[in-house]
Amino acid sequence: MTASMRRVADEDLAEALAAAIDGDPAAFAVLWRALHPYVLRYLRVVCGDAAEDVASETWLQVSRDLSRFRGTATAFRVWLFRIARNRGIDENRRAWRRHEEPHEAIDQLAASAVAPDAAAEVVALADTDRAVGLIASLPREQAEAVMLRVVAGLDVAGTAKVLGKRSGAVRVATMRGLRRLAEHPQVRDYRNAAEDGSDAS
Amino acid sequence: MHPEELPDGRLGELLRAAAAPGRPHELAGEDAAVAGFRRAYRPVNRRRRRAIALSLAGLAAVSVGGTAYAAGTGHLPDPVRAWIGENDRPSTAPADQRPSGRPRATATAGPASSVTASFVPAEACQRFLAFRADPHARPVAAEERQELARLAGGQPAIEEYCRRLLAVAPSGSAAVPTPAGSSGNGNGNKGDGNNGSDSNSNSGNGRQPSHPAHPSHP
Repeated sequence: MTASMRRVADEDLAEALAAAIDGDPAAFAVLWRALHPYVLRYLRVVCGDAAEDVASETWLQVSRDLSRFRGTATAFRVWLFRIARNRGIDENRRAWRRHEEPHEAIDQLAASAVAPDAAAEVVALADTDRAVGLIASLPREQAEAVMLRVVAGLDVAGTAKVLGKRSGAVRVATMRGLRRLAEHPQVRDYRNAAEDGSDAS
Repeated sequence: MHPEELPDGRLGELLRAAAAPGRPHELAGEDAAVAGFRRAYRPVNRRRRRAIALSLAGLAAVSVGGTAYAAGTGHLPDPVRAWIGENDRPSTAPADQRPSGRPRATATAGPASSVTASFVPAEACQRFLAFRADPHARPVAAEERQELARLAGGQPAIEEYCRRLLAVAPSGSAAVPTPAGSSGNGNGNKGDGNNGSDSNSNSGNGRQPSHPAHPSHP
């Protein structure tokens, strides 16, 4: 991860977190700006088109319960994504009850991502939405693990907490997901021969 | 995932794109989110803790300084009264079973129950009479009224009992000390225990017991 893509470090969020816990809206805004984009992208993997709404619900729940939160900024990140995940799963259940296709958007994205003709296109991998769409095309468990590790910036233990899995399972899912991405036509075909060391393992 | 863990090359490029800093359209909802925070934020923890600490400190002050203030205000919730009663009540205080008649101001402090351990007949009477005279005054608490009725020999006799009690009580001793006594000018005596509702015998702030408070502990 290069410096240019580094997210706001947890230690830089600690001050804002403490003030937000005490009810400071400006401090809450700092947290929101630092983390909301990643919540949104993670939720695209979890609940597709509902991501925006679910992200809003997530932040509302955070707002409601924040004064009771105790922990470091790292723990806050875990807490936040755990809330997001639970909300996203709830939304999927609601969508299921509405007899809608909960993953329609994701499926479409995934279909386009793996379609043979799509692989032939020159794709700008730097495009964030397309990258998230590619990750979303992975099996759900792998997609979530990759998003939480890479995009949400959680460590293995934090990811395990969010997913309710053991650390070993998270490691395996992340590794398989990254390997699978590396073998994805849109990625593989544009990989330089000199960069063979870039396997996901 | 640590930065150095991310691969180079195409895969790394993809992952970096996925984790890129927030873009304007992703950050467009900030105002709504902050507005939601203002609405939804519920201050509980520290303030509640502080409130609990303050109330505990206040409780300690009341119990240390005596129960005169607690009884005088008549505003302490029953559990607090019970708590104070349980802790301050002398072990051998006799329950006063006197029939109605000439009240004995100094002998009526014996509590019949923990609830009324902080009961001070003279003060209760002052409030009782004050409420009689002025319906806007604070009424006597139910358990105090019961206790007065017990002492007076019935509800109808309370007024007579109180008039006698306050009439015969010298200014300094009308305020019967609580069973626990007030061992100091302490924190518990806020000085406004029953001002404003009596004109007869309240000698004012920081009253001291005029007789031994603990007969069982000479």
